[in-house]
Amino acid sequence: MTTKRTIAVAAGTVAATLLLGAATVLGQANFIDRVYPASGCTVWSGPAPSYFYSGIENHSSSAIWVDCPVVNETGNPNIGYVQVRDRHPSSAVECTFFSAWGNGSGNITFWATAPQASGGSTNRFVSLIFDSIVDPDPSRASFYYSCTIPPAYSGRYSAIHSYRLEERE
Amino acid sequence: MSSRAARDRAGRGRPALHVVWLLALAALLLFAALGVSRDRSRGEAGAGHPIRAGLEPGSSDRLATADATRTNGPAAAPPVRVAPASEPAQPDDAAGLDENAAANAQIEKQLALFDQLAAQEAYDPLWSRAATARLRDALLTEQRELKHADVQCYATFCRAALQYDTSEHGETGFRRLPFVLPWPAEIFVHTTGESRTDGVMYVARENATLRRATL
Repeated sequence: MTTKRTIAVAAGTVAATLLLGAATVLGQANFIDRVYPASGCTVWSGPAPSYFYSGIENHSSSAIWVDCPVVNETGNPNIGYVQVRDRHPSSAVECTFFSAWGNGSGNITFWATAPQASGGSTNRFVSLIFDSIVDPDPSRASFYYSCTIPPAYSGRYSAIHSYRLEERE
Repeated sequence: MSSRAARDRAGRGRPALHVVWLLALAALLLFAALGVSRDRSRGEAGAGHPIRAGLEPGSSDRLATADATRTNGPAAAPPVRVAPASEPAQPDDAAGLDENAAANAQIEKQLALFDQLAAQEAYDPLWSRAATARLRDALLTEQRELKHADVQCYATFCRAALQYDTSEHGETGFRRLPFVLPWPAEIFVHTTGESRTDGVMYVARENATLRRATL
């Protein structure tokens, strides 16, 4: 009787272990998630930015355009954000997610999401959220956020602090 | 006799018990191995990432909440994984060529799909005419370097054949296209020719996405 009970307990332990293990393994979200400092962004139009805790600020009197590179590890971007501060009363910090491919004959092909813009002047950092980035093709294209930062306004500077992309495995 | 019978019963039960415990041990080892392999494949920003713990895809609110906790200073960015020296960093030449060919085939297929949709889509008289005019006006107003903008909107998307006056203007003009549209939209752009002045853009209708071609 005792032996049967022990076997029952052991069998229960096995079942529980299997269930727990399955739940742990299957329940894990299979994502690669990275946050990048905006000091990695490159200006492609406009004056050089200033750096602020590894973010970038526009101290100039004209807008700047930057590309902020993202590692493409799986080819399946999912969600992301760009953390920005907009201190201009009438121009927004605006970003879009690019997936670009250059072919052998020198042509460029790209997908770009609908842009996300900051809602108005504030001292706070806000996130421009890209919550459903559709899989781009080709999957091995280069990924980046492309953003514009408005000029300085009365000694107040707009900025990009960091950005993030989560990829599906 | 009765104690001997009891020992016999216990003796018969023991092998079964051992098998059960061995199964349990095997299951534990299996799941431990699976967990380790997943963590390795995910790199350092894996399941233990503190932000991931509160986030699932599509959850903008939670994403924003998580961000709000990090706005008082530089973000605690997880280090980007660096491939160890023993890992092959680049595909070999043949694989790279195959990848290029596959990518170019995908692009050709995407362009063919747009052409097919343009031929098949029912014309939306209310939206198409107004959208065509709005898009053409926005492009020519915002990008004065454009020499030519041939725009046509269908039921779910628009096509714009564009030509800039110089290659320099072409480069910046194509890159700024997402920001000059009259409505926020996903776009697909394909530049053509060696002069970098020509290309075609496909723009999704408001609140829509562009159809993807599958190989």
